[in-house]
Amino acid sequence: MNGGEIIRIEDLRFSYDGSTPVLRGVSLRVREGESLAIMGRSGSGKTTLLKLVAGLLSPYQGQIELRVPPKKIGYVPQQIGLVRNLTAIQNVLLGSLGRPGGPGRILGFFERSEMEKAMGLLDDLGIAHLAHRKAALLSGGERQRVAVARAFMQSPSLLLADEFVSDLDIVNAIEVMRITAEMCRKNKVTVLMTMHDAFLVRDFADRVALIKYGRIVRELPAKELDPTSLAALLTGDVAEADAKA
Amino acid sequence: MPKLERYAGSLLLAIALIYSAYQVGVFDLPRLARGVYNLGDLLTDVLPPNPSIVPEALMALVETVQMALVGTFIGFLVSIPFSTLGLRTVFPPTVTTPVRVILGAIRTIPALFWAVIFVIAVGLGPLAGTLALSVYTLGYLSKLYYEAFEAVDMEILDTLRCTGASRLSLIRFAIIPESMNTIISQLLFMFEYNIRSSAVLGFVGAGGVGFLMISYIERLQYRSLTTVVIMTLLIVVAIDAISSLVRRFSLPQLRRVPSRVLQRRR
Repeated sequence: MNGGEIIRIEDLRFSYDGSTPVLRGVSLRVREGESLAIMGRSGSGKTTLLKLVAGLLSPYQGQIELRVPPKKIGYVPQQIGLVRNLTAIQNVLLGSLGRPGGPGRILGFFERSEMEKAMGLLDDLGIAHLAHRKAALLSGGERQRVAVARAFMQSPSLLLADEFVSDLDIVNAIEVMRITAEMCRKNKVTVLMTMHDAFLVRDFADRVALIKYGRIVRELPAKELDPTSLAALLTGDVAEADAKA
Repeated sequence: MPKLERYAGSLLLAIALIYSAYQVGVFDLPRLARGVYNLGDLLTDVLPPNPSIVPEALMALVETVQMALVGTFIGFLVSIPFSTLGLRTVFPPTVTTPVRVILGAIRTIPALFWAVIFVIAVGLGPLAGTLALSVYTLGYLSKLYYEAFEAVDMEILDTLRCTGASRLSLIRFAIIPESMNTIISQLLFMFEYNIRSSAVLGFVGAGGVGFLMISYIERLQYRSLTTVVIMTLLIVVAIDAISSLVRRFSLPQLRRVPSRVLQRRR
């Protein structure tokens, strides 16, 4: 792995059932501190790629090299993945479960420093006043913020965000993206996210990789992404994707 | 010919039904007539209820409720670790398969048979009934729980796996809180079921109101039996009402974060 790279993926192939390929030879590099957005149509393999990087799927063919300390991958899944019966702050505290804790943790007693950190993160995300509200009673935007806070509770080196802010209205989406980008910049967190909104990608990502039929067909600086020509880039048949890859 | 084929199944079913009814004696009209006459006789025997045995029946009913309460609680406590060990989303098949086989075997044996086993083991009385209900509860609640636990959204587990959380933490902080409504609701259902069930366990000497019922039947004291049956019915209805109230008001919460932490910052 070259200096400065945090993720190096070579010829990655994966199939859920052993016969239908989902990823068909993905090669990708992500530099430390950069924000890479993966764009593609539904079913193109975006979520699968993220889960493989997170170490949640196996076995696969090819290579995935990560230069990330253990337990330092923050993951925000597509449906947010909050425990509905826990409050916002309790959900954030779940991000610290990988760290060694006191004997009382299994009974639900977290250390004071952990609680203060969780509260600080909720404050940074503008929802400290909702700390004691159950996750089931939060709005989509609030739940997305709790999920970001939970990921930052791990003090991550890498943030994986699947369909990030896809379910939010544009005002909330911009706000959550702005705060998350700021937190990532401040803490030098590398971001690998999948997104649908080309305008948000242009504003908040450094680079974009287009995926089609399980292959990366193009990589370009996010600023050069033309939302109007995106549809043309992402449509087409398998042979076309293979030719471009 | 096709018409005959179409009706062949129905015809065979009708023949089997009529033959079976004949075999069990449904067409023995003189016997049925005698039965109606006997039932009329029985009705005069069971009514009116005998109020003098109310204190005795009340004691037996209290014992029945105690057996159900303690039996359900012990079964519940043991079912939580058993059901988590049966979780295919957390443990490998080498762990889940034997656990599920053991739980299946426990469920195969009816509560009454467990009562016989424990009467042999610990002697007559409510202890045998309580242990029987505990084992029966373990078999059923564990299955209901591991099925509910497996329905917990995989994304929650994926997220926590990325934090490096242990299996115990996954169960404690994600699976159990996420399934809390099901845990409470099935526990109350099991308690209601065990109240009814424990009324019968006394038939084999495992304590409770059933023991009283069988002794009244054996001594042909049907009016006293009526009193016990009515009182059992009232208790069951009352417990059902109470547990539906508990279900409505039970709001599962983990320990609250102290409010002074909330006031930090700003």
